[in-house]
Amino acid sequence: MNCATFDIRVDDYLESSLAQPEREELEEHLRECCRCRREIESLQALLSRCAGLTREIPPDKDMWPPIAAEIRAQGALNQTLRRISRSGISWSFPKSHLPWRTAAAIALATLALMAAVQLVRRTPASKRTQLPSAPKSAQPEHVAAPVLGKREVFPQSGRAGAAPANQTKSDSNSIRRAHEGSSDPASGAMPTRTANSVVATSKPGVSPHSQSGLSEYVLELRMPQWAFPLYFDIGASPNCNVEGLRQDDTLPAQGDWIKIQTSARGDAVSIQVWVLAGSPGLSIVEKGSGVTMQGPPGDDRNPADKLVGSYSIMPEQTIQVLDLRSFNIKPIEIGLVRDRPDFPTPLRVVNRTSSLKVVDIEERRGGRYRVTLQNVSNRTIIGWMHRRHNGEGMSATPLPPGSTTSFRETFFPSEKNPPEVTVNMAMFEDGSYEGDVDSWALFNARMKVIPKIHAARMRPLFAQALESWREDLASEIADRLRSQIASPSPDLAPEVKNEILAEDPSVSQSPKSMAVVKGPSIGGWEKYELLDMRRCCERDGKIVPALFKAWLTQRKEMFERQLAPR
Amino acid sequence: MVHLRLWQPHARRSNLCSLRTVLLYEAAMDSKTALTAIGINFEMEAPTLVARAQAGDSSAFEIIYREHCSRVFGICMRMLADRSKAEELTQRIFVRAWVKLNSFRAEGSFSSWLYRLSVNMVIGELRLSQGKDSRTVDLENVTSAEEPRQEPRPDLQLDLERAIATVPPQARVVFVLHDIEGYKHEEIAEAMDVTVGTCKSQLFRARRILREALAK
Repeated sequence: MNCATFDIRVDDYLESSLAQPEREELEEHLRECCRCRREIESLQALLSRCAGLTREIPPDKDMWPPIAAEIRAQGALNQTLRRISRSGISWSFPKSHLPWRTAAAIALATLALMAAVQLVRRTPASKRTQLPSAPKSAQPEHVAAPVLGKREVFPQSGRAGAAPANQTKSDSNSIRRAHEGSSDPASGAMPTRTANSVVATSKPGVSPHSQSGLSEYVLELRMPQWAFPLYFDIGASPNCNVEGLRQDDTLPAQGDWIKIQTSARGDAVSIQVWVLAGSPGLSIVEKGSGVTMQGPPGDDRNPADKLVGSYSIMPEQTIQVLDLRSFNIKPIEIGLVRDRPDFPTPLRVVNRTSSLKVVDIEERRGGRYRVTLQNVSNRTIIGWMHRRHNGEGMSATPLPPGSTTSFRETFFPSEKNPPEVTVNMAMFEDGSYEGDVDSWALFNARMKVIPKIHAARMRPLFAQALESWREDLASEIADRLRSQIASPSPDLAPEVKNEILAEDPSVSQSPKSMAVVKGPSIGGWEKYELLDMRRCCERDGKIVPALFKAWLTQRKEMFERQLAPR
Repeated sequence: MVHLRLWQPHARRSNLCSLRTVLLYEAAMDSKTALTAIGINFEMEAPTLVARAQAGDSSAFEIIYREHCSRVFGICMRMLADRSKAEELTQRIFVRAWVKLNSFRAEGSFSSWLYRLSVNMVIGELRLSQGKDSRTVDLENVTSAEEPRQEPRPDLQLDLERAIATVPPQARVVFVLHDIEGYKHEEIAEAMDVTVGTCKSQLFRARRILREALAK
């Protein structure tokens, strides 16, 4: 090989896409040719610098206002806000302080909380006069969670006599329980310990409505399509017990059921279905970050709105609104089904980590849960992850030893039953983790913690170098960097990669997981540091102490900046 | 009389997302950092946000904008080497993304789609500006013709960003896309409508200029 061939192939060589014989040939040439060696070193230095560049450059100014204006000008501004603002439900917010989008979000929440369903006494099935029923939605088969006995014991794992007092509190709104360590098998209480995990389950609560003589129903609206403007007018009556509508319920997808969870006395709900025509006469005036809604006071109706029809729905019945066809809208289905009697449903929390402990599960109405975790290890947890049957949640907020954090979950009645959440990964400052490897890979890829780990790992090294200055420290640091390049950090070591692939071969198909494996490695970063140090500090193959000290100071400042709280 | 309006249904959101809706709106007012600070992970919720934006929800699109604006601006800034042009183009990219949102298919990555759109628009912008400047350069033949370029100022020689800005446009685009953004030669060649060989030689050229600039 000659230098010209080297120039042609060097790109492929750096990208590791060169065939083995050619690669060996090129490396042999490198050993012999000083010019090409310098060439490749300088190229590698450049590429290392490029790898160190952040891909993101924050703009000087917020460009959203002109973009939003442009979007509005194109007539694509979401009219939802206007619709919601004209819902006829009185809601208010401090106009001068809230941006209008925030206001809209509050409006959504307010709307959700104020919806009402009227039910009058249940009529016999024979009196049902509605359209033929569509198949009812599959109601979940309730699986009763273990019921605690009178004496509830929560011994701490492996520690005798440390059973904390049970903090059961049952009222109409919440049930709070404390969970410690493993279970007492004799009592059947939770939490229990499986092979790798601790399971904490809350006690099934007593429906607050069963005491008040109300029945619980779910009004379900099945949407065959999701991009049409419909308006549902649900009549209220003195018997109606407004119990609230979850915000989530207003957001159906194609083919999905909207579930309106309610409790009421009675047996029929009357509902009017309207097709909306528009909302002229209302405007949203933005003043700075504030917002003012202007429109006819109390006017909820656009005269052009069309009434599709009025319908009455019995419990356990589903009707089809076929009249929508005359508006070129596919029929929707509306069903009223009885909710689970034992509301709220206990949440099962599986903990696959030993450094995090489930200390509290709070249950609230509407299938909402709040799980509190505590860091019981002696290391700071920089992130953790939990999964549910249809998603996952993660947090990258540092959790020092002993501190607590919490997350919230909501489960619909027809979702996985009993509801279950798995706390499956905790990651520490040095990049190590415990728990599920795939979760760790996802967490790494999504939360971008690698730079923080770089800084956390190298800062003490450099600080030490500055504090206890010795002339030979440069070569010592160089050696340590070299050794770390040779055996990269545990989170990027080949055995970890193999572990990922062995545990879940599909991970190799996952771009996010592979981004971790292939992505910016700590070893690569150290390589960059080493190259940079040599470039800055070496003269004639020797490290110059003064240059090294200056470089070290600069690096230390950089790490301080990276680790400084934002 | 109480009314419930279901006027603009959105795609189904995960409960994780829906629980945080108000916070999302709140956080979107501030910055991407605020999103992270309250534990909202954009990537996890991106499909939902995109679906909402496709359904016409501009607030969801604003969250998307805040997540991606730095990256899109970074692409524009590095490739155009002009902050005001980059800001202007970033705005146009997001407006175009909003208009074209329905052409995005959920099976792909939204960020990839957006960045590809950005790259295409930057390349289009460069072509346009070359036309305006009456300095049209035939990309296929540009390798042999050494363009006069701005020499890096001595005080900025070690500043890689500044050095990149001094590289001629075509070579800079190839360099940014290949060495910073991680695109393959084939992808760059297709986007720029040149051959892979041209792309490689432009990269070689950009790297050489940069190494010279940084070595001074």
